[in-house]
Amino acid sequence: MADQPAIEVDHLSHYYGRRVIYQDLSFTVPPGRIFGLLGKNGVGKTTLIKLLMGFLPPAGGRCRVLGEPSHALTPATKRRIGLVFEGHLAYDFMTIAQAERFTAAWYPTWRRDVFYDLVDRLGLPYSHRIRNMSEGQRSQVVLGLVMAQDPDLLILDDYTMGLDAGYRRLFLDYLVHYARTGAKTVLVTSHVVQDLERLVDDVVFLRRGGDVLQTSLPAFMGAFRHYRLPARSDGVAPSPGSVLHGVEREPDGTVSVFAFHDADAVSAELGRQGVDPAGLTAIPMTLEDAFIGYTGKY
Amino acid sequence: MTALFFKEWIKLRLIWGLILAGNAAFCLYLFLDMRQQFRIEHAEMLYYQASRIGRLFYADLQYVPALTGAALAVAQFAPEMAKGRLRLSMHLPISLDGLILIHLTIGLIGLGVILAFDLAALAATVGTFFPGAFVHSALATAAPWMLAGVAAYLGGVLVLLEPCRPLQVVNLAVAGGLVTLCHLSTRFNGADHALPGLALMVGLLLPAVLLPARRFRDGGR
Repeated sequence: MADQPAIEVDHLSHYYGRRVIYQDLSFTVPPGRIFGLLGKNGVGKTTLIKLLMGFLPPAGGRCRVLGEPSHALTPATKRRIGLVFEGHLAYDFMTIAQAERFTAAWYPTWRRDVFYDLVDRLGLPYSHRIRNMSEGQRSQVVLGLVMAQDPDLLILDDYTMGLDAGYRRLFLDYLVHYARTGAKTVLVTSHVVQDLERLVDDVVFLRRGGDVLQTSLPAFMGAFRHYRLPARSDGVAPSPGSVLHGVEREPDGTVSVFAFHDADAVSAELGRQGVDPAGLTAIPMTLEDAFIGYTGKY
Repeated sequence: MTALFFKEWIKLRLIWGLILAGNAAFCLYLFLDMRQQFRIEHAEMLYYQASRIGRLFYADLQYVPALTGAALAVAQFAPEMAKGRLRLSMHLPISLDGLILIHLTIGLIGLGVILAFDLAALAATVGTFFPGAFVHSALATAAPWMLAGVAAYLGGVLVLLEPCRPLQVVNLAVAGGLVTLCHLSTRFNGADHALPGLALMVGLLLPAVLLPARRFRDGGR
């Protein structure tokens, strides 16, 4: 039971009409890890989250959450999963106190202290109605409600939406501390990729058609490299292939090359393609740079 | 279950109170209107109109329950459907069918209290001005209108929960048809024999509501 994956996606396929979202998508999320689900718009991140939350039945394959099919979760298993919906969805007709009272009734291990510890930072009276809050304030209430459930698994769908840098940091710091100290499993998507660098242990890169790369963040950042070729008058640029994962022309005429290989292998490949490797330089990169390099700008 | 009552009470108490107040105001109007007629006409003449000609002195009431039911459905489920907020409830540790049926039970209790108030006010008004036999007749005559209120409520929920637009139109037609059926007769005791059949058809809307809820959960499929 302890070794059972928190999330198992096995040969998952999904379609919208004739449009293929995934075919044969597989990955697992082991317990106690913080997982970032990364991908450009339209690759099916939200669809995957919906599948995991049980709000879509898989067209094919299996999708299991805490050992149960995601589309047929029992109430006991739902109790172990905390969901943060895109846009920090909440019962906005409730006050802070009413939201706490309502949600607490469903969870036997409810941690009132966790909820009010987070909410007290807002400095709002408990009689404050959620609909009258800013997006940032609402995000704190929603996070407090989910954390106080004391779930084993947290799924957060684009928690950054609508948050300024301050609230994003507050949300993130609290989430990291909570997840690490409680050995929680977290699956998170975000459009602000650099935030995830501070949060996640592992990443799943989703690309169009369901191409997926699952790796630990340090392993990925250690293996994936960014090189730059100086601008050339002939305008010849290399093509991506087995060695060169991605190639991007920069506005200043230089060419960014992304690869899972060292400089020697990249130089050799450039030479094979008839591109002079002179001036090839390794460039340090953030997770956001790596994300763009791996998935492409467009 | 208690928690869902708590949530629905917070959501609905203001609008439910307003709807009840609106019904009370209408019942007061009905009473004052009838009293006025008894002031300007001889009682015998009005008894004659009611018993021989079949004039319904409270016909204005007939669409009030349907409007009440539809308004309550909107008040209860429109906030749940806005931004897909129903998904929050769907993730609660309770089965989907149980969740929807509890919501419907709460809505029907709220509606039932208002319709019972309408019937009590109708009985009191008719009993104030007419002999006792008219009271029983008035309640039987108004019974299908009350059923229309339930049909409008359940039909409204059916339409609001439905994520598929063409099916939403079909549901609207079914709900509208049932409400119309409940209003076909404006005669005294006109629907007495049809009442069990009407009640059965309206009752079928209750399990029917579970289908669009499942389609909503499944992303509109």
